[in-house]
Amino acid sequence: MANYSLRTRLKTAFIGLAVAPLLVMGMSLVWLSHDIEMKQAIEMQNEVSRRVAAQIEAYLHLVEHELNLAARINPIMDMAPAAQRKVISRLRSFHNPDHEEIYDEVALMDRKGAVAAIASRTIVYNGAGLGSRAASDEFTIPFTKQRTYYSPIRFDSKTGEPFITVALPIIVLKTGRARGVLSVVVRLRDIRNFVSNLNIGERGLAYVVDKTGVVVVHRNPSVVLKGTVFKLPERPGAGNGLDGEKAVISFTPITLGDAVYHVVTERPLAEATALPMRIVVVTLLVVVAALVGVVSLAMLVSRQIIRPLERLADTAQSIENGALELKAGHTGTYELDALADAFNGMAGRLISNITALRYHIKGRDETAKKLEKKGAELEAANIRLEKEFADKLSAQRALADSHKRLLAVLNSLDAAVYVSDMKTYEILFANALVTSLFGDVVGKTCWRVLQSGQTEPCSFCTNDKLLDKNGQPTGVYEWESKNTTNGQWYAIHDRAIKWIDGKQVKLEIAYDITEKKRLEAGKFRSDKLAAMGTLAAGIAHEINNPLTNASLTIELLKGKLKCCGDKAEEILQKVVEVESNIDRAALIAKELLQFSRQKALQFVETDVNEVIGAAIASIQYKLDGVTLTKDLAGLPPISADPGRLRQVFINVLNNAADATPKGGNIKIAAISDESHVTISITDTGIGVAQADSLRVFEPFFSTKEIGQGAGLGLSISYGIIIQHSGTIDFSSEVGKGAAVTIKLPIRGEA
Amino acid sequence: MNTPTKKTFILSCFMALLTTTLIIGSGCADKRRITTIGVVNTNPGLEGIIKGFKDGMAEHGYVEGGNVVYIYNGTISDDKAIDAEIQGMLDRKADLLLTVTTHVAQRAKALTAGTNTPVVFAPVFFAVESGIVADLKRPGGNLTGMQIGGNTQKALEWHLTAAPRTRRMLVPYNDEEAAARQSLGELKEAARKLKVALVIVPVKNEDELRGAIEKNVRKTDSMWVLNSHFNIGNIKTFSNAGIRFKIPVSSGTSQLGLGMLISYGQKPYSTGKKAARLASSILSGIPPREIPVETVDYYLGINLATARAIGALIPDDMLAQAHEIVRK
Repeated sequence: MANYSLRTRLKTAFIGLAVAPLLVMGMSLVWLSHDIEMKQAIEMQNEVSRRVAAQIEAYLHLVEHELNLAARINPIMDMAPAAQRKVISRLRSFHNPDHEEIYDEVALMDRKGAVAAIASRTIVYNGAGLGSRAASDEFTIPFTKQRTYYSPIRFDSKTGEPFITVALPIIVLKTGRARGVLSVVVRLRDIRNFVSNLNIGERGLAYVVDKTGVVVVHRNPSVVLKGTVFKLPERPGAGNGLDGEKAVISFTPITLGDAVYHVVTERPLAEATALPMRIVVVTLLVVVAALVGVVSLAMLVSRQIIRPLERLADTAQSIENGALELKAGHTGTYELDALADAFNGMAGRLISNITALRYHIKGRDETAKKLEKKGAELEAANIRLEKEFADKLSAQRALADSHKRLLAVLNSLDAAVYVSDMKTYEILFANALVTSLFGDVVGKTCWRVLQSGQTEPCSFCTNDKLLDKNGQPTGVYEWESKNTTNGQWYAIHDRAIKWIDGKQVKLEIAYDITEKKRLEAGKFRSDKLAAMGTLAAGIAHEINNPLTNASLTIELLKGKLKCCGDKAEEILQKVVEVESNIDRAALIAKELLQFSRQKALQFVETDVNEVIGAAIASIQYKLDGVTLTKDLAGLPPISADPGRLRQVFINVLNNAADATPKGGNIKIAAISDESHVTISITDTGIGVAQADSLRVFEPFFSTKEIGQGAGLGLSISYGIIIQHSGTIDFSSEVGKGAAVTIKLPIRGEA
Repeated sequence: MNTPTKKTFILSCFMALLTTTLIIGSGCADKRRITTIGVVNTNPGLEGIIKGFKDGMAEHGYVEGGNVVYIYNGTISDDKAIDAEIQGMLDRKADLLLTVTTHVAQRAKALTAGTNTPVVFAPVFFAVESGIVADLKRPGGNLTGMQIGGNTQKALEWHLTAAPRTRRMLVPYNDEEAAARQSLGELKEAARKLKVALVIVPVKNEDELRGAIEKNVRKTDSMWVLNSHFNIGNIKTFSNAGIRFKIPVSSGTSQLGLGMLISYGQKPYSTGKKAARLASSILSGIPPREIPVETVDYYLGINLATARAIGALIPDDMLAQAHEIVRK
């Protein structure tokens, strides 16, 4: 809120209260005066317009009346032509009181419209051939309609004088028929003079316009001669006058015959509104005078109020500066004197209080000195405390930094690290890897959150191995374990350490060795299969020789059976049975050799699609009720032994067909990259157990019923794929099916 | 009283005084200005024009001796004197020139060419044909005013009404004057129409005029005075000859008082008042080029004294139509 002085507020109030009503009153007066004057001006001009219109009509009616009289009193149509000319001539010479000729021309027409006699003010008509006006309105209207004709008002193009033609029929009283027409061209000079002499204020004027706005009667012939056009406003009031000046305009219509004219009066707006303007001026003067008076009065009154207050303020200022003996004087105004008395009383009490205060101040000086000494001591102590606090704060910051660094190291390790209470199993710390694997485990029980399916501390918990009987740490305890929550293998280092609260806790650091375990298992299997291959090859070689001999011996024996007589047939059956077993053994030996990769391959550029197609054709007969789908498009040719490769796919598809019941599916899919093609054959068959799946490539291992196979199919396939420098994997889940994945290098040597 | 209060008081008083002064002063602006109008006339018979002009100007607020001063040194006839008179008025920075007669208007046009001095002529004979203005509705220069002309036919008709036995008419004619040439042309047309033979006699000066009249008057039964500077200047010669030889002398000019039997022409006083209206418009700011030239009204005048002198009988119905009758 603005801070105004009391003087300003008082003056504003005075002026506002006095001037506002004056202004409102003045403006109202001005507005009312202006409105009334304007209405009066318009009404006055309306009256003038009406008067002019009535004058014009009366004038022309008088002319019409005179002509009627002339036509009736003188039976002009019965006169001789010379007499007619004389009458017409005399008629034309009629003058108004100002000795101005009324008619410019008088003409008498017979019943055919021929001009019988004519007299003109300006035109010379030769006696012979005065012409005919039979076709003109001047004749036809009065003659046929037997009513007076008024022509449009026209004006002389040289003098600007207005004219109108009035023609009336000459009626035979007995028959009521027209015998001729008497026509006069009336000079509207009288009308013009009347219009010119109208008193419409000092500069007001009147004029007559036709329906198109052309000025036909004006006191200044120049206006008429110039063909001035005035556009009538829609209603009387203020507008632009004939010369463009703002004016109060009024108009009244006047009908002459068939034509409509308007008598227009206009008065300059400045003149019409002169009286309201004078009222405005006077009002303004009054307001200004009142303003001066009010300002003076406001200053006087404010001075009477403000000056004592200013003196009181000066006294207070002097007391503030030390002149305690000063007193505020009286002004003679009751309220202000009371204020001065109250002020003086207040000043007296102030002086007493100051005196008493001085005594108190003196007594307090000693106390103040003691307090100053104590304050210095306190300040020194305070400085010491601040220094100690700063040291501790620095140490805490260093510790926090160290903690951050340690935490950063632990969180960057690829090992799961956590600390747990050895009695309560509560996890006290866990690094980022633990958190990422098992969530936020700090504060929770380790066997609940790190393992699954545990209802009590783990049986393999190492807590009791980390402390000796005296409760001292025994050192690092290393072990391996498969986590029951995520199935990963870990190499674990456990040890007891002293925790920040002094208790012995377990620190466990676990490294993920799952991949290492997988590699180890694969290598173990490969080594095992290699050893079995070597063994199988040796056995096959060792068996083959006796089998060959046995086979030869059987042949010899068959040849000698003829001597056995009746027993020969029976013996032959037995021999054939032995021979069959020998062949079967030889076949097994052969297959063992294939498994042991003793047979050399013939690498050629091979289309895997064709090989798979041939394999499918071989086992097609077994796919009764089983749907086989292929997704093999776009495989590149590889370097391989197509015959051996076909055997691999036959073996795998055979197994899949055997394992898949009717309604199941077998899917063959292949993909390739820059170096390998990978073919997977999956089925929706009965599958094999996890433990069995590790042995499916071992010779003579089979999950089929006895007699359904020798258990060498996948073993042989394994051998062939290894010979191609490829890999073959098997995975299965009981009840859901099995999948064999074969990965072959595009180049054989890969 | 502190300083701001004093300032406020002084400022308030100053504003009140200023406002009052402005308001009162605005209503008292001095509109008075002396207007100078030069008048050049060559025809003493047209003094009525000047009187009508002055009266008309007074009606429009230009009162002689008040806010308007007229420079008029009486009629002059010599061309050099006319030019000197006009030039003198221009040198005196006349606000407007009033010229009476066609000849003066022509001189004024020549001398005011290139100046902005407006000229009102009252009247000239056929303003366009006389080369004074380019167009009647839009004069286009620094001249406008009243013209005469076109009344000769009617004038002749009135003459024949008063002197119906007229068959041959003597027409003295100074062919050096454009107005005379134009007036003669009109007369020829009227005479052809009204079947009057014209005896046209060229003259250059008063002596030749007297000689022409002496020589031809007995061969004719009427005499006609053409509109021309020369004829107007010798109007008494015409009227005296008419009385002497007892033949009717008429004119399309307004020389009734100087012995013409029949006059059908302007009323000089009326023409002067109309010219005053045009001058007033010019002085109010409308340029002459935008003020149309007006044609005077014509009035019939009959001089019964002359009629008696020559033994002419004027019909009553003609007398009834006359605007002016000179009986003595």
